[in-house]
Amino acid sequence: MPYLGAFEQLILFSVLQLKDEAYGASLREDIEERTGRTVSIGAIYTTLGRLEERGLVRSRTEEPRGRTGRPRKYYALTPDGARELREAYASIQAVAGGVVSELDRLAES
Amino acid sequence: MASDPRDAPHPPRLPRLLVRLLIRGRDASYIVSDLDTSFARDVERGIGRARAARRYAWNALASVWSVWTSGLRRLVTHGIGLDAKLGLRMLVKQPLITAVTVLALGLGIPASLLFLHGMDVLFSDLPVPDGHRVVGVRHYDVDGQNPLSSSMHDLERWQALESLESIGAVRSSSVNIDTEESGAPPVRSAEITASSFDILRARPLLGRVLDADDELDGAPAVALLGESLWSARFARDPGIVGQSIRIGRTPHTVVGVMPADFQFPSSDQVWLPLRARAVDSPVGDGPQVMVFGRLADGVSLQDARAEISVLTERRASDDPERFEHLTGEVVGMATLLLNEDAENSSLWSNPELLIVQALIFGLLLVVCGNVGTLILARTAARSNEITIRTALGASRARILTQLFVETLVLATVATGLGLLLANRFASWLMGVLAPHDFLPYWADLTLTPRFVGIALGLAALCAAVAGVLPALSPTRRAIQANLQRTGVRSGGTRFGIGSSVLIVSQIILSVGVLALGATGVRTAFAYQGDDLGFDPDRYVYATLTVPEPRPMEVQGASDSLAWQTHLEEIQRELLRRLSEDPAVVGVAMGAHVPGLSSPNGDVILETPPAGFDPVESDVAVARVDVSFFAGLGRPILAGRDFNAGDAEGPPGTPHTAVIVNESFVRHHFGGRSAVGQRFRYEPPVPAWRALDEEEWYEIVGVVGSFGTNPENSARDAAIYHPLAPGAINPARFTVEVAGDPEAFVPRLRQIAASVDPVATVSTGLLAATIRTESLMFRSTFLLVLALAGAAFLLAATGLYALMSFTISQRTQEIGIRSALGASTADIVSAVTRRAALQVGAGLALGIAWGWVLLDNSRNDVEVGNIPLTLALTAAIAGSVCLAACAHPTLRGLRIQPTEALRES
Repeated sequence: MPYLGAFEQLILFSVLQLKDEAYGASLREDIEERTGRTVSIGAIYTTLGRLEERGLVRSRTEEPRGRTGRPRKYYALTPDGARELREAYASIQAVAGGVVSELDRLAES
Repeated sequence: MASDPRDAPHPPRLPRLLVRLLIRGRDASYIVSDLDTSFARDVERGIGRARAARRYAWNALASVWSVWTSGLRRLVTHGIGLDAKLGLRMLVKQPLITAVTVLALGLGIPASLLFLHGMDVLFSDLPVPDGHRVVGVRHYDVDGQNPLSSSMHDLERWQALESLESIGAVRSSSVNIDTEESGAPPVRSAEITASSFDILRARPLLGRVLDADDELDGAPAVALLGESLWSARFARDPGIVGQSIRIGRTPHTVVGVMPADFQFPSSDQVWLPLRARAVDSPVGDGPQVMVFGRLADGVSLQDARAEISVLTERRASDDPERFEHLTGEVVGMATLLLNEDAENSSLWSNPELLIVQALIFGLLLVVCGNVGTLILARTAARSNEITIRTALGASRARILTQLFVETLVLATVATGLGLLLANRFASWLMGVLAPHDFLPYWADLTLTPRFVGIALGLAALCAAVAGVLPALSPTRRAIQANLQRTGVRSGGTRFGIGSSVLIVSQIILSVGVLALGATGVRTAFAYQGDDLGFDPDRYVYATLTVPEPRPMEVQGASDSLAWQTHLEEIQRELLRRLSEDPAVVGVAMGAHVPGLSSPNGDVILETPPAGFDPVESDVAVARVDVSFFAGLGRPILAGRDFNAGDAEGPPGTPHTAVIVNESFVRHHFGGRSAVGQRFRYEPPVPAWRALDEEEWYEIVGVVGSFGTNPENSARDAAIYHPLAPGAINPARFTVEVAGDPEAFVPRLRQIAASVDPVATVSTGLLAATIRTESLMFRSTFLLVLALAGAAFLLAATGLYALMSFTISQRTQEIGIRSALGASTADIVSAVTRRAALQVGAGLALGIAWGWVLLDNSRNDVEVGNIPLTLALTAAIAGSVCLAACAHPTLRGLRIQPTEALRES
């Protein structure tokens, strides 16, 4: 099983945060607000497409409402996705455990 | 939340258009929509329209980048791997397509690059450190359109060039080394300036290279030997340095041995100091040399060219008469040594060469078209698979990628095998050519990484042409329509007019060329060596070259005349001594040797015989010494032999008496008496043939036909012109020997060296040389035959593909016809109509084209009965076409109505 990359973890956490409102534009905004990173809509979609193929997220589409409405594709974590994200986060925590203060000290020195 | 989209501000148009154009696939509309939403939110947040637009543009371009790179990555990691596996499986499952493709592309791709490779090899840098910085310097005659040799005066002048860190000169010739004692063959030698070794960064294997003191007048005579000569003639004697060897008349001290890879400038094995000086000859005169140098640090080729242009322009203003029509050139070393125009050294600098290469690639496209025909048949047969894959969600691009990769696997395997074969062939060819010095010493024919890279690139291109183009149409059809057709095998894929034109034109081409190739091979193999009128196994021939005197040795017209007399004496003396040797049966001198090819000319008779239509043909034209026929014991059948008076007179005197052979009399006079008749040559006669196109020549005698045209004994008419003594240099001697000619060769060289140790003699065994020429002649026609055969095979394969495809498409129709009581003839007629039309048209036009081809080749091959040849060729070609159609047609005839119904 391929591991979750940092960007994939970011997106999955963001999908979790946004609950039923997780689609391209909202995910981009959320990630930008929380991390200060500017990411492209295209990068979000290609990553989510990959995660969907692996069964870690599922999507539903909403057709445009009215003449000028916009189509949207909403994403949500699957149980497999949740498990993998939890494992990935746990791994980070396990490795980082007890050294975060040291990390802060080093970074600020 | 986003506001109502109807009120949303519009994002910048250009990035949005790019996104809509470049992002495809199922998520495209969501990406576009989300980009718009992001833009609208940025505006809502009040960051300003301009900044929002910039953020949109970045977001849009970054999205395009992400989608494309992700798509490519997926293609490489998932799709192509699987497609490649499928492609490999197809190689085994479809051996016919594999075999034809391997044959066509495996031979076609390397063959299409041979011209380019030849240019690369010939004009490559010299194999010396930083070889690309060693350059030639010369004048180019703008009026005459040819590069000029240089003089020592030029060398002196060019020493002022600051673009070159050093400059040198070299001139090549051949020398005898102890030949009078050993009878050893002459050796290629170069007179070279000491500076050259520094320019070429050349280091000796033993001893030292030449130095500046060796060039001084009065310095001891020294020589530098090549490793090959040192091995062959001196058994790698470690004490060779300091030993004395005799070169021509003069003893030379060996000062060193150069390593085997140093053969500068033209496979030379002996290097002597160049002692010519500018002061020894008038300006523009003196020994001809090649001048070269090494570019100074930081100087580019363009800098050097600019400097020499300025220098030459300055000279032209000082001395317009001599220099006005000249330009100064700095060229690659290979260009200088091969004496080629600079523009011919690269495809990119010569449009004509580029056109040749483009035509060759055009032929490769035809080959690709053939492979494409087969692939189309395969694609059509797989239309159901393609339709189902499309229905399951595969995009058209995905399907085309699959077909491309499958064909790419096939093309790559074919090209790989072709490259292996080409490399083996190149190694073999180098082994064959090396002993004869047919190639410059720096030329390495084996394949370069560039060659392999271009070949693989062409394989990809061919895969696109053969695999993707034919599939564009079948994959364009709507899924629904194809799904409806699935199962009834009536998919709309068709062989278009393009494939018909391809098949017909190949049949035309191959019938004509097959006929010519077969005729040529028949002519070439008919020759068994007994058509020459004499036995070449008894003959050896020798080419005697008397080196011209140095300019300082010729002081005026009287010395020039003395040299001419000297040349004549040497030739006469060699003729005399050879004729007196007990091993020699007969000897003759001339510009040509019987049995070997000679120049041709078209003749116009003064009074053609009434009622006889002379056979229009080229006639071999030989220039021979007046004692030629007597020397070789050839009797004069009518008229008289040459006498000394026929060739006498000062230079320029017309010598109008000629002797012709029996074939000439038969072809031009129908066998009637030719003695006393006159003719002249049809202009233009090239200057090198040394014939006067204005002059009327009179036939004074007739000799039996012998050794004029070994390739075609039916076309062996010949004219012999008398040669003034000393008129040619080199002169060729034909010697009939009582015993083994090969054993006589060293003796011949010894005799020649005893006449003049400076004159060099190259020898050959006549029978062996005729065999080589004959082999080349045969190989040419075998190659023509093989190429025609290959083209024909491709055409036949195209027909097979067409028929197989037709039968599989019309299974249901054949079944119904069969059920309705159609006869075998009806069914055959229905399914073979198109193929029959193609074959018929191809054969008919092929016969016409073959007729033209054969009729125009009468002088090269013994064409015989043209209608019969063409009828046989067409019959064979027709049979093969029939065989190609037979198997699929029989399959069609075996279709039962029940089978057809089951299929539907």
